[in-house]
Amino acid sequence: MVGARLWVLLILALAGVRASAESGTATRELTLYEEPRAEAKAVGKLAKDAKFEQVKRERFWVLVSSAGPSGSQQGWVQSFYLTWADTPTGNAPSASRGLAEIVGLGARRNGNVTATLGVRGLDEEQLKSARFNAEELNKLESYGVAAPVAARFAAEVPLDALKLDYLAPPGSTPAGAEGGR
Amino acid sequence: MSRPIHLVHPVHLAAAAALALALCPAGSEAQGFGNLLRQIAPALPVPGLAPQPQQQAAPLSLPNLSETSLEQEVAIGKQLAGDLLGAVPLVKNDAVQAYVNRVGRWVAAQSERPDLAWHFGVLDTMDINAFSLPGGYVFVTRGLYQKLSNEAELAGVLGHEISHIVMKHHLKVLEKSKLVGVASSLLSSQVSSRNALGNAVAQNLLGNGAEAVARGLDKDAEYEADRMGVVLATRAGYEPYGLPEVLEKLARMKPGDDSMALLFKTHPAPQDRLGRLGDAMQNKLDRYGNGKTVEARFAASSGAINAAR
Repeated sequence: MVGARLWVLLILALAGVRASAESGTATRELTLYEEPRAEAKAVGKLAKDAKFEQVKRERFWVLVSSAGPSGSQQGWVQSFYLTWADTPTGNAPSASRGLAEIVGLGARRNGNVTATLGVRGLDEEQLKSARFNAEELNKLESYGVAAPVAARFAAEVPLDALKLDYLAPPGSTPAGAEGGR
Repeated sequence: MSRPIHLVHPVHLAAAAALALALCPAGSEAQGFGNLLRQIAPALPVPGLAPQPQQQAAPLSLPNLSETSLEQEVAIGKQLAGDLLGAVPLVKNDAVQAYVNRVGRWVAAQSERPDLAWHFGVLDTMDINAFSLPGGYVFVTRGLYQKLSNEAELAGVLGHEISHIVMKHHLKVLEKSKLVGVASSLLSSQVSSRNALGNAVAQNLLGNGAEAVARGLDKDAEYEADRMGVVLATRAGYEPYGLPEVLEKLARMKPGDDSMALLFKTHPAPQDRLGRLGDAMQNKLDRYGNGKTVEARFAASSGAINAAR
């Protein structure tokens, strides 16, 4: 009995993660692209406030399906300007999460974190009443690594460092950014 | 709570407070400063210490009395980090802490402050948040860590916090209040053994240090750290969309989730941050899309953090 109920829960949880949750609304007008690349051909527009369903996803690119002016349309958009339907299992599942954790997500979302996992939360009162903890600070400092250690760690992947300027704040229009057309 | 404010001569304190009051800006920082002021005000026979500092708001163009030295910055950060760790300890798992320190140190190495003694810690709370403190102290909570899917996302989160330290965002708020600078310069003429007393000064003037992380920064500092964090992670060889992916996960959580309360109090809404970041990134980083996400190494360390209780 308990076993059967657990299976139903598992199936519901997985179904929720995989399918029904993935729909939402565009927060501004967006160009739909043929492929998940900004250089790809534009194939349509998703109007501001238009509803969409996610067809699939590649990292930060989402293939959306939406009712367009001439029937249903599909195209890729980046996820910056999308809001998602509020569902308990709305988060994309991560490859690194175990089944038990996926099943547990519903409970965690409900704010029962402390009760569920037995680890206390962190609030302002706690911060105000905190007393300096030298032992933990020493432990923290003992974990620090020198730059060469980090560089060797990066080389394992390898991660190649590259030069890149910081991004200008939006609206600051660096040369040519907003120039016409 | 009583504070041993007699460490600083009352006259000097009064001068410092009066000066700070004169320099105090209107608005949110005035409020933060107000908190500091209230902590020392009872000892101050300074006329004009009325409860409406905004009335005396002056432009912030007056010069800093003293730039905080690197030594002072690190001492302040150390003090605040110790206080924060008094509120919530580290996750008891050496492998996770070592892993986060390597990722963080590598990202920090791409910043303009590569030589700081950077320290990274995972805090044992399910609250979803990350913190940075002056001098190179960065924390991510277990709650946030467990939301991450790969090393690029971790690098993005750490990049955001590293950026606050690179830009000295928290330190500047403290400096604007003038208390840190004034008290440091007053004390440096009176004492020779600076270290012990330096910490005491930080303690006195910062209030209870852990609270500093709850004060938050202004929105522009957060948006700036988002823009910089993305670039730092990308410079480090990671795929650029780690931080946006994390922001999207946060945006898709229930707004009333208790574990996000402090994050929401101290940061603009994730959806707002995503939009701003999108406006700044546009397609500018797409050519770095072949950066790494590093799933396997992250998964191995996540196993460790899920096991650590």
